[in-house]
Amino acid sequence: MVLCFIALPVFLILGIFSAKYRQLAKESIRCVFLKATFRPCDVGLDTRVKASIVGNVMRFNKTLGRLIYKYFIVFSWIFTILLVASTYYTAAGGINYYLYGNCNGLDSTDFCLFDPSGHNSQVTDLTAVCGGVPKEPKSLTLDFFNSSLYYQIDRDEAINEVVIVGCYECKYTRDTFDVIQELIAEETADVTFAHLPIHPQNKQSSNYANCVYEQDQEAFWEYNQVLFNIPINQTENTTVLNNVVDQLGVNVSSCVSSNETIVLLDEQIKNLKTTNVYGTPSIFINGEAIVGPKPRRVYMRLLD
Amino acid sequence: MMLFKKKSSAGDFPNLGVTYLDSACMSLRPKQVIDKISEYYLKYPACSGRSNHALSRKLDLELLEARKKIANFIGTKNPKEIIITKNTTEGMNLIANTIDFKKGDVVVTTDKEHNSNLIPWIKLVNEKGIKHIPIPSNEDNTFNLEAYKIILEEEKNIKLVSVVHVSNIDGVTNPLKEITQIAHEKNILVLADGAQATPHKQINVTELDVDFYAFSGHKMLGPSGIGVLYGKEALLKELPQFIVGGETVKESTYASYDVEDLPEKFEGGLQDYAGILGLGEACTYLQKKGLDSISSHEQKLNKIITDGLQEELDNGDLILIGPRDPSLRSGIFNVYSPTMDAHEIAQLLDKAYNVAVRSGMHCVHSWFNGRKINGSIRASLYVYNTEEEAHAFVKAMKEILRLQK
Repeated sequence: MVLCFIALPVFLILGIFSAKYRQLAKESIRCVFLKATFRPCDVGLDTRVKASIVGNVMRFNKTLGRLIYKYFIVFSWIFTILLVASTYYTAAGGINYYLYGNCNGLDSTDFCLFDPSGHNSQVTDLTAVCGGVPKEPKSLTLDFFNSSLYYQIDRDEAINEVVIVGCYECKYTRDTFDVIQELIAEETADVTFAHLPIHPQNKQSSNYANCVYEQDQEAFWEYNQVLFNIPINQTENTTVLNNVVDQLGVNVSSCVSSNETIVLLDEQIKNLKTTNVYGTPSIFINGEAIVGPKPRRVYMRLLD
Repeated sequence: MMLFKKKSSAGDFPNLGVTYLDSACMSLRPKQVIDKISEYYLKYPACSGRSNHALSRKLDLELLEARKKIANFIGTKNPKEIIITKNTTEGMNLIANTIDFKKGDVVVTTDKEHNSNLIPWIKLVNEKGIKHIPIPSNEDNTFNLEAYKIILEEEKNIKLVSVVHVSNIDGVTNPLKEITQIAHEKNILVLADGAQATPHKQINVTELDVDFYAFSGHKMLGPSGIGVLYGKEALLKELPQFIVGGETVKESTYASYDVEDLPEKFEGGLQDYAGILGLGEACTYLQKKGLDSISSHEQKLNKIITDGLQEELDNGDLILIGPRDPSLRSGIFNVYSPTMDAHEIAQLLDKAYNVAVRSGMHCVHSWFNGRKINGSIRASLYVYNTEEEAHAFVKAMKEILRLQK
């Protein structure tokens, strides 16, 4: 009977916790083996399981018990199909979770049992800056992205291309900071970091960033690191920002309020809209977009 | 919580919350037996026959009294003829291993023996080259006396007739007295398996004139792990020892030993004193209840079940093992369904109706395999079962059989 196909995983799992199920698990294995080789099950397991289920149901409702007994094969097939289907989806979900940090695949933000809080798919919303774009990871593109507008590390022997879109004020970008740092330091990658202010009025950290980068690219990456590590409420504080650039030995006093700087930031935002980015962090690795703070393995797997 | 049943046998038996119809496998124990076992452990938990203190002497007296009760229960006045064993199987094995069987000797049994009275002989067939002849039963599974007489007439080297007294698969009582008489006319020894007889019938080994008679405590309200082999004293004296060691010798040197007298000669090692005392108490209990009264009670319940399932028996939904007349089947109602697995029915009885029966081949695989029957459902009745329980079993069986319709 097809029932042993259901019994096998059930008793195998129960057998891990209780010795009384181990014999049943052994019988299930034999039963499945016989069934898989088109022979009748000779251990009586199917009969016992059927009688046990029907008997327990009959204790409370004889009519229902009779119904189950009569159509037991049908019920067995239904449950077997459900078992196979759920096993498939569970396995696929597990693989997707491992590969993409979400059971439903890289492009999905749907509920995932392995990530019940949905943390891996959450983003800091950029509607205020980039409103109007579809909020779907698969819509993200670098086709019109101009990396020269942003902060770059070009390496002669790079075989990977990494584009990081984040912001200092964004919670989920900060959650991914360790991975971002690792990607920035990745020797095999050309890296571009694009900073987006999540509030249109909060442009100071972006202006400072642009100015630092213009004067000293190495100092910028230090600035970048400091800004991700200071409290969120200080990232737009000019006193704090001035202290940071002072410690880096960079003078940006005339740059931050210059017209060129304001124009540059507008261009950066305008160009980022072409990518359809709707939240941070959004990280492109070799053209593949990853939205939300995924586990480290998801990013590393996409590197060549 | 109610610990003992109120409805049957004056509340002597534990209330298990189930309709217990598996007494042919294991009987329940009355409070009196349980108390007697506890008494040993609580009041004189000592060694017998070897220590010299008050507790030990008290135990000696209690054991002697128990042995006398057991002897009296099966109709002998001689407690030396009562050998304490673990169970019927050990008693049968004791005889199989102490009679000097030689190649060509013949052992005759019925064709529906429990493995306890079959395997020892098959073992001797394989090891010593004896011959084993099962007597074919009549069509209704009763003993075929004519076939038995013919076999005893034709076979010249029969050394032992070993038969079940009351069968555990159908409750049929074999005519042990006649069987013994016919065997003795030819100087053939007779061993009887009394496991299913002693709980339900008044046994008198003296009247039966049987040479050896084995039975178990656990089927007759006594403790499990205790049994008895009755043997005529003269024969037991002649038999060599089986299990030897402590208690079986009077004294020993590095090279020799003096064999102990009966019954200790066969009782190697420290005995199950609590079990012996419990068995003695069970004998007392059964005698007080009256074996004839118990037997008629069982037959009345068996009739309720047989009549209640008459339609199913008539239309072939159930096939009865043994004669249709319930008075010939003691407390056994054993049936199988041509379309439903016996274990399935037993499990449904258990899960859905709280009815405990035994399913399978009941340790008589040879009989079932010989008839290509996969097993049966056996309801076995006893002193504590009630008419309500018999009716409940009938109702449950009817409902289960209707599942397929």
